[in-house]
Amino acid sequence: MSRAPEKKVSKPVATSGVKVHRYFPGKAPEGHMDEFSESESESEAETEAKTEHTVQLAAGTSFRASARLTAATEVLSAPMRIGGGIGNAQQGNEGFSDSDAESDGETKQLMQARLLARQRANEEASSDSGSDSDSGSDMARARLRASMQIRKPEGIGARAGATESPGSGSSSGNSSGSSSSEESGSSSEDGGYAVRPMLKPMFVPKSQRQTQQNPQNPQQAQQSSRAAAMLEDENGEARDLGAEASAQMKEARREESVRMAAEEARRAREQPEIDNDEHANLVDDTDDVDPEAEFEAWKLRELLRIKRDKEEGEVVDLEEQERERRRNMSEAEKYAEDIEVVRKQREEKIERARELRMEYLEEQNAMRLDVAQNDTEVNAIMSQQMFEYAMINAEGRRSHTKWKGHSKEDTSRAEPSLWEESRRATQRSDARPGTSSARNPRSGGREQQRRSADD
Amino acid sequence: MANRTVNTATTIHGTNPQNLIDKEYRQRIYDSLYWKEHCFALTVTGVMDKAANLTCIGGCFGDNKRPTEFMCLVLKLLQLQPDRQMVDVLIDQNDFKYMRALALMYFRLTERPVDVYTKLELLYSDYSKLRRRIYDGTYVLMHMDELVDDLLREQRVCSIALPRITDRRKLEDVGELPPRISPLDQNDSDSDSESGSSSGSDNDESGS
Repeated sequence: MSRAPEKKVSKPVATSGVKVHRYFPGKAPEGHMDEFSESESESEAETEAKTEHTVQLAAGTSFRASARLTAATEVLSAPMRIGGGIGNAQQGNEGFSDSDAESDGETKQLMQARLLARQRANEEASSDSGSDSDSGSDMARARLRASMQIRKPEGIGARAGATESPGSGSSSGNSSGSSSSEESGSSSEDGGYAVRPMLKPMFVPKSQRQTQQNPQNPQQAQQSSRAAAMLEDENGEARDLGAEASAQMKEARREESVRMAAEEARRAREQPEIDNDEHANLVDDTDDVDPEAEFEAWKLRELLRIKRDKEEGEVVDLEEQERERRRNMSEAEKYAEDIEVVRKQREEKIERARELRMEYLEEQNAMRLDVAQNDTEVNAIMSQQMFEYAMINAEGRRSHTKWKGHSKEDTSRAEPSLWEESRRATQRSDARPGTSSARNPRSGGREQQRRSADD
Repeated sequence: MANRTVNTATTIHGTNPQNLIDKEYRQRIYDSLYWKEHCFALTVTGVMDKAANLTCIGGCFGDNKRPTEFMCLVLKLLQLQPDRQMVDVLIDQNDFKYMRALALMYFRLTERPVDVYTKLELLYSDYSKLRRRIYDGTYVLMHMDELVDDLLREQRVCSIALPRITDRRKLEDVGELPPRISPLDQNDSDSDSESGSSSGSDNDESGS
């Protein structure tokens, strides 16, 4: 108790010394600040251009609506920075590394790069007819948005107007072209609940697989092998990543995502999603399919509505009149009127009951059974049987019963019964030995005795 | 946090505007995928964009009482409480009819009776077709003027219990509203005065 417990020194294990990054809620992951410090190798020109770009974006992204229109144009107008960045990475030069303040700018640039890639992919496919219809609805939306924002309060409205005008002022073809590609891009993302048909995963044996080791795209191989090389030493152990190497990997992944965005856009354009909502399409809501018919239908509905309104009005008017009239009458007159009304109601009720009764009786009459009057023999037999039945089942006087006595109730004598047969058989077998009916005249005596007892 | 009404909102009919939709249906909307995915942190412009993509009107349908996108957007508008001018813009635009239907519903829920009658009765002459999703999930064709009629006369439209507005007759009696003159009536009266059959052009003018 006095001695403090000895601290056990654990044996060194292969994994000791590895930094385990545990997650604690509320705590930023370790090394977040360290890795993303600005590298000194960045040139001044790059930093200048970067900050310029982020300032532009900050102004442009204040409203989603204006951002959508202006960001697209900015991407087209300032391709150098992004393209240069990607080109640099491919050549193996240093990529840019993140800083805290610029991480937002990075993601925005990445998104713009993806957008650009999508646009290019779509422009390659270049279907003009599609973009026209898209641009039509988009112009409508742009107009709407413009009108909405003009009506906003002035503090916000001024800024919106300022950013809106360059967006809309730029050539209409440009904005419609870019927004139409946005349109298709965004519609592929959130086009309602249309689900792309999923491909069933098929098993591919190892020999036939196309992995990153033997890919279709040689570029991919380069990057992936570089990434793999960066991750592993010659001995195959995990290498501790420096800031540069991780940045390069990031760059590789970025390119990948940009490429995938282009792929997705291309795929979306070539294989449009199946609209699964067939039920909705059954009910067609396109207007002006048949303008005259629609107009006539509307006219009919309108007339019916007018008629309905008029009738309701009349009912209300009648009630009003009635109330007016009664208000002007005296008590006695009201009483007399009410008595009349009630009397009439009662008479009607009685009359109605009489009518119903007559109907019922007629029905009963019709349902009476037709007796065959001509057949006398049948009548005789029927009446005899009915007489006997009536005699047997007649309602007796008081203290009279239908019980006629045991012998009368015996139904076994009426005809040879099966029970009788079996009883005779058992009698013969049970008889004393030597008293078979053939030899012994006494064997049938029981029956005789019984017979005599009954009588 | 995401389901709070906007801070600057005023009470509508004495309550939080979101309460205009019953608790049961409101909860169904909050739980729905469309609300969580698409209606999060939406502004009025965003609602506008979504409304342009609507394909039907309707309330909650099916065994699950799944809400339509229309209904989700109604609730979103109630949360955002756009001002009168914006709603007017949404109604007056001619391009997107479901957007118009959405704004009409919002208008009916939030405005005073006189305004409701004045504004909605103008749309009796809009006969564009709408798709409506009924209780069992199937679609039915209806027209904009029928929708307006329902909004003015029925008690429940699209699973939303409409707040009571006074009878039109009562408003007429008091003098706040003139009696309704249908465009067809106008047409007839014109033709009577002209003592000739109404021409096709007259019909088109009043009908459009």
